[in-house]
Amino acid sequence: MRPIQRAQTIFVTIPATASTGSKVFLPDIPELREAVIDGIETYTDTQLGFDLTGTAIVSAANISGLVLNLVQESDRRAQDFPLQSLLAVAYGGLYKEFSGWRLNWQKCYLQLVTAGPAASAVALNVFYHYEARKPR
Amino acid sequence: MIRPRSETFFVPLGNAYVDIYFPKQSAKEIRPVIGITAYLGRSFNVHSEPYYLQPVLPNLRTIFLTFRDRNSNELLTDQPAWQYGTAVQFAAPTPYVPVMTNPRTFAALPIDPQKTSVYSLTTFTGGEHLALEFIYSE
Repeated sequence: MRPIQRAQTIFVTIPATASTGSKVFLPDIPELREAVIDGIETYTDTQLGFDLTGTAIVSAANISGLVLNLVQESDRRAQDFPLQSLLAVAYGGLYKEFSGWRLNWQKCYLQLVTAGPAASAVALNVFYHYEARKPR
Repeated sequence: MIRPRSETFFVPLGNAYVDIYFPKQSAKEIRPVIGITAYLGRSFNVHSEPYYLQPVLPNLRTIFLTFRDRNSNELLTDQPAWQYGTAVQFAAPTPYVPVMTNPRTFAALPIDPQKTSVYSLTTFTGGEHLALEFIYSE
């Protein structure tokens, strides 16, 4: 894995009213607007109990009920990516690396494939760095 | 991970929902950080005082860490403490279980220990400390 330069944890609340098929869009994080993404990892409530507001993190049983979609401009670079695959603890600490994407975070979303994750929170730890955009 | 140099800091834990900063130290140069390890479920005796580390679950999973440089720029923000643990004891006498056998490396980050903060969702009342090791590249 590449040495980490920067990291920011994003918290996404899954509403209690969410059901199968619901999309939950990620929040805007100013530090990540110009960031180049190196990797992302997530957690279940075994590693991280709550988000910063005290909402319970999604359980190990329910994390398989979520997929992640990552969008760069209008291009969906990761389509229906099983969130379970981002669990670094399941791979001895190895997190999934991405090839330098610049994401439009407010277009990225989680989607429920079961109703289980409703009323919980998802933590996405984003590893990133800054670099100047190449001229077109 | 090869350790050219390392330094372990003991942070006294206390109230929840409060940023706790590392204890003040005499001025030192800031060394580039390539690794971070959190020590869990063990006790140390340093300077003739015991430091007791809270058993791993459920409280370590309620701790977040933010690392800043000398100018207070956040380098690693709201990081769950779990990812820095390399071994976990779930409940005595269960032996330590390796969790992060592939510790991540950092790009020689200019972390200022005195600008590093611990944020917990749990209140600690038993004199517990979090032991955090910084691994330096030089």
